[in-house]
Amino acid sequence: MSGFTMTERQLGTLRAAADRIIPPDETCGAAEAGAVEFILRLLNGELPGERATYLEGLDGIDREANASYGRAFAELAAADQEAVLTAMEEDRVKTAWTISPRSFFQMLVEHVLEGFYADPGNGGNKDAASWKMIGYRAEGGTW
Amino acid sequence: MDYDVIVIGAGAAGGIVACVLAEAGRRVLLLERGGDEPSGVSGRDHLRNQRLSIYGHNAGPELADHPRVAVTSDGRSWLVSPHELGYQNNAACVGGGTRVYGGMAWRFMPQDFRMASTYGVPEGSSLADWPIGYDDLEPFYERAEWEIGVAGSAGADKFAAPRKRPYPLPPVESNPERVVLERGAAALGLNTFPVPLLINTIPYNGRAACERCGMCVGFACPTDGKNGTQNTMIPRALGTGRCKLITGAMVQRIHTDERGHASGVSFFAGDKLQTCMAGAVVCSAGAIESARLLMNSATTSHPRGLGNDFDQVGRHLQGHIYTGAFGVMEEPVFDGLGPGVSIATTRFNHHNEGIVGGGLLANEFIKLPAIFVKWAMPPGMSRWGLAAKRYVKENFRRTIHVQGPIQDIPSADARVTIDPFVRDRWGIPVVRLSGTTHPESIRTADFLRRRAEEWLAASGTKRVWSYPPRLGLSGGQHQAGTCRMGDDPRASVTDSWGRVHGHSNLFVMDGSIHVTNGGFNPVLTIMALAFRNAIHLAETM
Repeated sequence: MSGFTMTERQLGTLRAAADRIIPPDETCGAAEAGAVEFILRLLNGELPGERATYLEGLDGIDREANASYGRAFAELAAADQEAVLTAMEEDRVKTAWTISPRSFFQMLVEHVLEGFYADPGNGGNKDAASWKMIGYRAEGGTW
Repeated sequence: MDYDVIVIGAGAAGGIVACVLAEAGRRVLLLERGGDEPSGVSGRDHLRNQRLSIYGHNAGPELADHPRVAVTSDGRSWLVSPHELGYQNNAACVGGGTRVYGGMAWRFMPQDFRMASTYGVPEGSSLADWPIGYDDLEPFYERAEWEIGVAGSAGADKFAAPRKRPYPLPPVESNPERVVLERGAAALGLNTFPVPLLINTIPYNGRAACERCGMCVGFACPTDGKNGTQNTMIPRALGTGRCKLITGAMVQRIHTDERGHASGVSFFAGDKLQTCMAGAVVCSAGAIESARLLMNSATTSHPRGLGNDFDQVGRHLQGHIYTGAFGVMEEPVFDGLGPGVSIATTRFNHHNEGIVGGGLLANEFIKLPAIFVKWAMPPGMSRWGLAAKRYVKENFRRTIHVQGPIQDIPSADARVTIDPFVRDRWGIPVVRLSGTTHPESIRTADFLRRRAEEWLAASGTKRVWSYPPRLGLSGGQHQAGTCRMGDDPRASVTDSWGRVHGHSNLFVMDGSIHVTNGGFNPVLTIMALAFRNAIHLAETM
């Protein structure tokens, strides 16, 4: 993968947000399945136009976490992370945003879902983890 | 003269036309703008296919080379790429849509050819009768079923028109969804039957049987057990030695002389412009591109385009508004075996009190998980968080989706025109898509979704939901109607043989000539008409 990347901090925020969108439980969450890799692939592929939005949005998530809890998003407890994302979803943010927090969050949800439930070839469904979880097999039949 | 006939477009119709003519001894040039193996067609990318084309697709046309302009109802226009909403794409490759379709193989009903006579014409709509009827097409439906290969159960559909010969292949096997839906149908007194499909349920025509992987809709069949023109009629055409296929051939215009006689076509092969002369020209490029080509072939004597002296080319664009409902069962009903679609009813195609037409209902093909999370979650359910993950885990295998296409009520304002500014990679003016299907279609769709809900509820689902249909322009993979046939040159573009009025050797043979599009997937009708009209052309030229 060439060109675009993010800071470690932004990557950490993205990983944490992906795990709130599809959390780990008895099966893996979005981050472990490769959501970050999937999104970076999109930003380096068909969606270069969304790079700036992602950087703004991830910084914004972190800023909201700081404003509400005084800590980085990735360091918050799951329930607090969820509260930050819910506030964004409902456009109840505490800091000044240059993009719509709601639109960014909706795009993020869509991308995480796509990565997690699409074919492993897209990089976000490692070892077909989501397919095994729901019982879908690309070859036909069920797990 | 280089060829007897030039056929433009190697899809459902063009492949058949080329084969019929070549086997009748004509020298045929078959031009296809897409490729034989378009990039991605053998791939399994769940986000870039003809069913879910979020970031691209897999069967053409190339994203960068073929823009279109879409226009909203309030007149705003924007540039659309082939994989984007509003483009109304169909595949562009050898086999066309038949390469990547699900392959439902419906015969229209007799009423579908006589919609205006049966129902009257809703105000503001362009509903009309076909100049031919079911009996004219029956022998050619049979040819399509046998020569391309359809699996089905003859006589099981109580509402189907009479047929002379059974299907060549046994119907698809039952599955748990069908068992459940049969129970509900029995409770409601609904006649149901296995969906007829262009799929090899047993080996046929020298190819193996379907292996039931479930990658039917939107993908090329990994084992070649799905039947399209690319693995039946086109190889036969090429086998005669009289048909030449050129892929990557983008037709610029059809040439006509001052009497309107077609003399040949100019096309780009790669970026090189070539001209070939022929005794007849057949447009089989699909309802949008065939209309575009006729309009882009304007001359001083036909300044609006060929066949367009009365401003009919490009109008009445119609596909299908889809409607249906979702239901969730207590127990899993998903066995993952393709094609998945296994039960249908045609009870609601006609005879619906107070409704114009109607449509079939059938269970869905195997649903990709990425599609499930986008479209099959219940209303009000958050799509993120632990509850959403657990919902998908619990209900992917319990959800039944029953849906169908309603017979669109056409509007003359749903149309394809030529954009005055935008050109494609080769400098050819592109289409502009505007208008909507007639609003009467929404009443029909709303009626049909309620029937889908009732069927699911009667089948033992614990929860049922659906969404109200929305009015828009419909075209896409079922696109039709833009060069409708008829006896009156002022109200139609071709005669019933697909011959363009006023042009003795210029034809349209594809969904463009459908006057109406049935409450069914239209491909078998496109194929039957192609057989009928190509045979007539071979006999008369």
